[in-house]
This record gives sequence, structure tokens and C-alpha cells, in this order.
Amino acid sequence: MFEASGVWTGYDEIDVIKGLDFSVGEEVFAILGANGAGKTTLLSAIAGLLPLTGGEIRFGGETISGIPPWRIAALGIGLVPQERGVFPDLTVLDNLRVGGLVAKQARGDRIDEIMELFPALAGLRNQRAGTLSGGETKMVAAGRALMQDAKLLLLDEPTAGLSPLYVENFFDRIRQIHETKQVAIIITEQNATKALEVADRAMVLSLGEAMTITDAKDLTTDQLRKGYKI
Amino acid sequence: MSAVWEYLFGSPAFLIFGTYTLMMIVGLGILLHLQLGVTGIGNFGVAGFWGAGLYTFGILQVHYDVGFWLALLAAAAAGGVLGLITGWVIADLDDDGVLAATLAVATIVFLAIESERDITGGRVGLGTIDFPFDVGERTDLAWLGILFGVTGVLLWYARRVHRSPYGRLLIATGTNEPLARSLTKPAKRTKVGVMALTSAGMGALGGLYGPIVHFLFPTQLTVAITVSVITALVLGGQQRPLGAFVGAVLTVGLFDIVIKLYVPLPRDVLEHTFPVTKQVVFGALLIFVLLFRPLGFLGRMRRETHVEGLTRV
Amino acid sequence: MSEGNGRTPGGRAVIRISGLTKSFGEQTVVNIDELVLGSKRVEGLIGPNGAGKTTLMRLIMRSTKADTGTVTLDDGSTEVVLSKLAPHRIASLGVVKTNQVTQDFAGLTIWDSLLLAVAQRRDERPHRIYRERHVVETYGEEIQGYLDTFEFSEPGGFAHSAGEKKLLDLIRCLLLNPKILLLDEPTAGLSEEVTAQVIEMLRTKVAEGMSVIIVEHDLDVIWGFSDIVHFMAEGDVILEGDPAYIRAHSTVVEKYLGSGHV
Ligand SMILES: Nc1ncnc2c1ncn2[C@@H]1O[C@H](COP(=O)(O)OP(=O)(O)O)[C@@H](O)[C@H]1O
Ligand SMILES: Nc1ncnc2c1ncn2[C@@H]1O[C@H](COP(=O)(O)OP(=O)(O)O)[C@@H](O)[C@H]1O
Ligand SMILES: [Mg+2]
Ligand SMILES: [Mg+2]
Repeated sequence: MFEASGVWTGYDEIDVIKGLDFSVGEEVFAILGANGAGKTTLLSAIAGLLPLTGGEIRFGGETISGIPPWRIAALGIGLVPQERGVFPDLTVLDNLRVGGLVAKQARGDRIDEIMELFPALAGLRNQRAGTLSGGETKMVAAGRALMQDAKLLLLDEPTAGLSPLYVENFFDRIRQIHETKQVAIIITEQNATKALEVADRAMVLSLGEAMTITDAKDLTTDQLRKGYKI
Repeated sequence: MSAVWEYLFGSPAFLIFGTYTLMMIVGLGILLHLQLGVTGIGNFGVAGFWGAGLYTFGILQVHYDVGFWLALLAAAAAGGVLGLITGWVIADLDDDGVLAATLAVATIVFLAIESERDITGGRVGLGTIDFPFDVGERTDLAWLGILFGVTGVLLWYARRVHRSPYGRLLIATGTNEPLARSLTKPAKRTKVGVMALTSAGMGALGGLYGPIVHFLFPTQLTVAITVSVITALVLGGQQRPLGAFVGAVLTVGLFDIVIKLYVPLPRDVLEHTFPVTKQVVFGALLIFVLLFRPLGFLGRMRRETHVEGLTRV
Repeated sequence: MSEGNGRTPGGRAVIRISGLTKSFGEQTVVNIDELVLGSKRVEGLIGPNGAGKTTLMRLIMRSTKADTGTVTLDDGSTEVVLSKLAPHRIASLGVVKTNQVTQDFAGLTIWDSLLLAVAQRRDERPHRIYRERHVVETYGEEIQGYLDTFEFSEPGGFAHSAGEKKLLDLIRCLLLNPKILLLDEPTAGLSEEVTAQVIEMLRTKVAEGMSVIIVEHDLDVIWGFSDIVHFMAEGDVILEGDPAYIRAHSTVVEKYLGSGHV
């Protein structure tokens, strides 16, 4: 359903992603790699926030590279950015509702689901998102994407800053969302062990190039380490 | 040859006056660059600080016979004190608040000058003020030379600031004040300091403008001068020391000097259509620049290796 | 080595907190009766998201103003009431904090940003326009040392990735040579390798006399690095003890760790 072929992208003169080929089916796909490997850059490009300088991205049979981000979102690709993923001046509830704008299912139910996933948010419904704690902000950003009825979720380090209990719940929930809703998920994580537990397949990214793409359970420590050295 | 001379300098008085204006705009622009482009203080009251200096200078010279240097010093002090107070008031305001407060300062200066007729002459004007020296027929040209020198010094200082720890402190304070504070930097003091210093400069420029016009009127310090300075700086590049210069040449230089003096426009066009067209073109240019090159023609600030011979990548 | 924060030999400086409260509207976010931070070399501060950890640290630094209460810095010989001082004075006294949400100076390159941190006030005066060389020559080596330890893709340029900004934030603080360094999730989003490097670096600094108070959700870091752990929930520190004790405590397991970590 998702295919990237020969993808190049970066900033101004700098190429960060250098000719990536990979495809993601109805699965959880983990992207692992050192800081600065290009994970955030790649996800931004998929979501249409950065132009490609080469190659093509296809989603559900359609070429999506080159079309504006809001249309990509409407096609069912939801991004949870690594940082600043909320509208700071809107309340928590409104942030979630914004995600729900593109969803079909009744919004009320969905909001309840999100509150169940992140009980901490329940008491904060009417708080301005800009005043939330770091972890709470993450929850709202993730919650908004979950509201979106996405077919493909892009999660950029969604658990950094979440307490262990929430991390646990969140990973459980990722599997569950994937299985019950047939949502494909691309997730980047520094917590490689955790990510590999929930992922079907994984890619090790190093300096913008794929070192390995393999089944998550087959990924060796050696292969993983390669992504973090050099 | 003499025809060319005639063509170029046929009206030297106009040319010289146009260049005075240009130099004033450039000088004020460089100071505003330190406030706005470096420290992020959007001063919309340039005319007020400049006017405070201008009138302080004028009043001391006309009413109290104070000598040139002392009057100039007082002009700088007036601008500086006003800057100090303004800086202290705006230090904790957000961007919109700073704009409003500085505009208010300029308005207060304007109204005070207009209403305190006994001492400022009000709309009748205050004069006359003369050049502090007399070198004959071309004293005005010599004064222009001095203005060039002063502007040059300001430019030199601004460029040095960019390469100094002080400049770095200003940039840091302007872009992320809480972070600067957390790194031991006294943000408020820094902002008040830079406002006082640069406003003193604006006041001194005001003083230097006195002898040019001989007679002072409140209309000389309306918001128009502020707008000219801001337009020039934003057009040229607010983050670059040369920005005001480039912008002023493109605006004041092109319109008030080149077109006005060298393009043979019919008199009524020059008097009626031209000033309006000029404002429209400035406005359009400003919008165009903000849309397509928000940091002006010269673009973003460049912080290059500052110390030669050191291995900084 | 910012002005006035040369470390006093001997006594370890501690932060004493008493009667400290902070509310936003109805919600009381911090409410601490008595707490001493910094009596051990490395103290962990853990608790659920929203417990008030960041707010507590911000109250100490006075980047947020408390409703009531006092915070004092006691270095064995003198006591300074921090809760009366401006934020930059607190930092000058050697109490410094990193930021959970990455903070950066948009206009400054990595080098510039670090030079800013080390530059002394006397070098940053408006008339000192030829002072750059002195600053670079005095502190360049120290900065280069950090840049050699941690990899930046382009040290002369800007920090772009989240990881680089996080490291930069930490290095800026270390360059101030603090007595007490408050770390708010310093390794969140950093790879295991870089996390290890960070901890290594912190250990060196601690050995040289710096105290660390660290908020982290990476439990390997907390259990491995802290001498003592404070557990915070709903605005108050409700448990204190060595890592093993906290780790096994049922309240901590229930509210924070989840069954997966027992
Ligand atoms: N806005 C930007 N401009 C220029 N370079 C950038 C920008 N953002 C990121 N980079 C560079 O791109 C590389 C990859 O960054 P990023 O995608 O954020 O890495 P990751 O998410 O894997 O940690 C880094 O070297 C970073 O410095
Ligand atoms: N400015 C504010 N207005 C309202 N609530 C706030 C504000 N700042 C923080 N909070 C709330 O205070 C609580 C504690 O936040 P914080 O100290 O950041 O938590 P953490 O322990 O995760 O660091 C959170 O529930 C947050 O929503
Ligand atoms: Mg990233
Ligand atoms: Mg926090």
C-alpha cells in the first residue's frame, strides 16, 4: 500500500535521505537509527512537509510526492511529529477534534477511546495545549493522529518523554490499533527493543541510507549496531 | 563637459539636501538594525528619539546659546534617557506591546513639542540654527561630509558588534530571552542598555539634523520618518548592517534624489502625482519583499568565523 | 566559569525547599512541604507525566514564579534565598537547568551558542567590540573538547535535528560549570549510544564535584546513575530512597512503572 522508490530529500543544498527504496504493507514498520540518521526528515517528506529532490512515493496506488500536505492527510496519512505536535492555543479537546475533522466515526466515541488510552488527559480536557507538560503534549499529539481514521500512521518517536507505564500501554495500543483497524504504522523509536517487539518489519537507517530492511524478529544486534556506528 | 556638470550638479542645493536625508535614513536605519534586526526590539518610534535629540539641540542653541558640542551631547543624552525609560517599560512586553509603546513614545514627544510653544515655538517653528563652522559657500557640503563620516562610524560599529560577544548576547536575548536568562545573561538589563545606547545615537543624529534645516517644526518628526527608516531597513535587510544603506539607496536614493532631480517630470506631476506614487511604490515594494524575501534583499544574518587564524570550522 | 560560581571546596551545596506551592487555576501542580535536593551526588526525580517535576525545577530556577514558599541554596557556609532572585542570578550562583522541551537560539550557530554560554559579562559590554578573539582563545579549547566528545554534523552551522539541540542544551549548561545541575529528561529521544556518552560525561563532572538532579523516564539511566531517588506524584515528593527501594515499592509500580518493569 505504501511504496518509496529512490527517494531523495533534504534541506536546501543538503541531501539527508539518499535514495531510499522500501515498501510498507498492512503492518507495523519500525525505522531505527542514530540521532541525525534522517528519520524525522523521512517522515516529514512522506507527510508532504518537505519536497522530494528525487524518486517517488506512492500510497494506495497513487503518487503522493509533490501534492500538498493537507491532501496527503485527507488521503489517510497521519503524522505525529517528534516535537511541537499540538496547536498550543487550542484546548486539549479541540486539538483532538481537529484530528477528528477528517474522521468518519463519531467523534465522541473516539475522544473517549483516547481518554481511555491516556487517562492523564481526562482531567485536562479544557486546558490550553501550550501549557501541558512534555509528556501530556506527546499524548495529545498521538491522540490527534489516532482520531484521524488514518490508513497509515507516521509516529516520530511517540514515546520519548512518556512515563514507563504509558510507554507500555502505548505499545500495546499500537498493536491493537493496527490489528483492529487495519492501520499501517511507521514508527521511529530510540527504544529499539520495544519497537522491535511491536513491529513486523524494521529498517535500519544510517546517514540517510537503508542499512538493513528485514523482519523485526530477524534483526540481529549486529545489524542494529551498524545503524548507530560510523 | 560643463553640460554634464550642469546636469549632475545643476541644482547642488537639492542634491545636497536629498543626500542629507539619505544619510539620516541610513544612520537611523543602522541604529534600528541593532534594535530590531539584532535584538528583536520593534521600535516604531524612531521619530520620537530622533526628534527628542533634534529639539533638545535646537532649544539649547536658540534659547540658551549653548555651544555646538555641548548641545550635541545633550541631544544624545536626551535620546539616551528616553531610550532608557522606553527600554525599561518595554522590556517585559510582547512584540505587539513594544510596537504600541514605542509608537506612543514618539507621539508623546510630538505632542509635547507641539504644545510647549513657549520653549519649542510650536507650529511657528524654532530657529535659527546654524552650522557650527563656516567654510564659505560650500559649508553645506562640508556638513554632508561630516554626516558621511558619522554614518560610516555607525556602520563600522554595527559590523563590529556583529563580530563581538556583545552582538551574540543581543542576538541571544532577542531570539530566546528565557533561555538567555537561564544561561546567566541579564536579559532586561541588556535590552534596556541597547535601547539607551542606540536611542542616544538617534538623538545625536537628530542634533546633527538641526543645522541642516535651520528651522525646526513639529511636522519634521511625524511618523513619516519612522516609516521611511523601517521601509529602508526591511527592504535592504533588517539583519544586516548594510541593510539600511541598500534599502535607503533603493527608496530615498532612487525617488528623492535620482528621479526628483534627474528625470524631467512636468512640474504638476512632480508636485502632485509623484509623492503619492512614491508612497504606493514603497508600500507595494514592502509587501513584495515581505512576501518573497522577508529578510530583505541582503537576506539572513551571517555569523562567519570571527577570529582569523583560529580553527573554527 | 561564569562570574561568581566558582565551586566552594568542601561542603556540597544543597537546595532547601519549604512550603512551595504552585497552582494553575483550580489545579495545584506543586505542593511541597519540605524537601532537600542535592545532598547526594546524583539524585533521581521520577514520577508520572504531569506529576509536577518540570514545574518544580522551573520554580527552583524561577522561570516560573511560585505562589508561596521559599527555595534556598545552602553551600555549607552561606545561605542564599533563591526565590527572591532573578533567573540569571540563580544561574550565576551555579544552579543551572536543562530543558525538557528543546530550546535554542534561532540566530546562533552551534559554536556561537556555546561561546555565548561561556562568555563572561565583562566581555559582553557594548564597547568591547574587539573582544571576540579573547573569548575564543580562552574558552575555545573547552568547547572543542565537548564537540569532540559529541558528534555534530556541522559544528560551524546550526543544530537542526532534535538530538543535536538536546545535546547543545546540555553542553551549554555544562560550560557554566554549575554546582547543581538540574536535568529535565536529558536523554529523551537520544539513542542508546549517545545516552551512554551523556551519562559518562555527567559522571566525570560529578566526580569533579558537580551535583546532579535528574528527571528521566529511561529507567536504566535512573537506576544506574542515581544515588537516591525521589518519587513525585500529584505535586509532592511522596517517597525517597535508594533505587532498589523505590523500584520495588508498590506505589511506584502501580502509579509509574507498570507491571512490565517489576
Ligand atoms: N531544518 C533543517 N535544515 C538543515 N538540516 C537539517 C534540518 N533538519 C534536520 N537537518 C539535518 O538532517 C539530518 C537528519 O536529521 P533528522 O531527520 O532530524 O534525524 P533523526 O530524526 O534521525 O534524528 C541531521 O544531520 C540534521 O542536522
Ligand atoms: N501554565 C500552565 N497552566 C495550566 N496547567 C499547567 C501549566 N503548566 C503546567 N501545567 C500542568 O501542571 C502539571 C504538571 O506539569 P509538569 O510539571 O510539566 O509535569 P511533569 O512532571 O510531567 O514534568 C501538568 O498536568 C500540566 O498540565
Ligand atoms: Mg528525529
Ligand atoms: Mg516534564
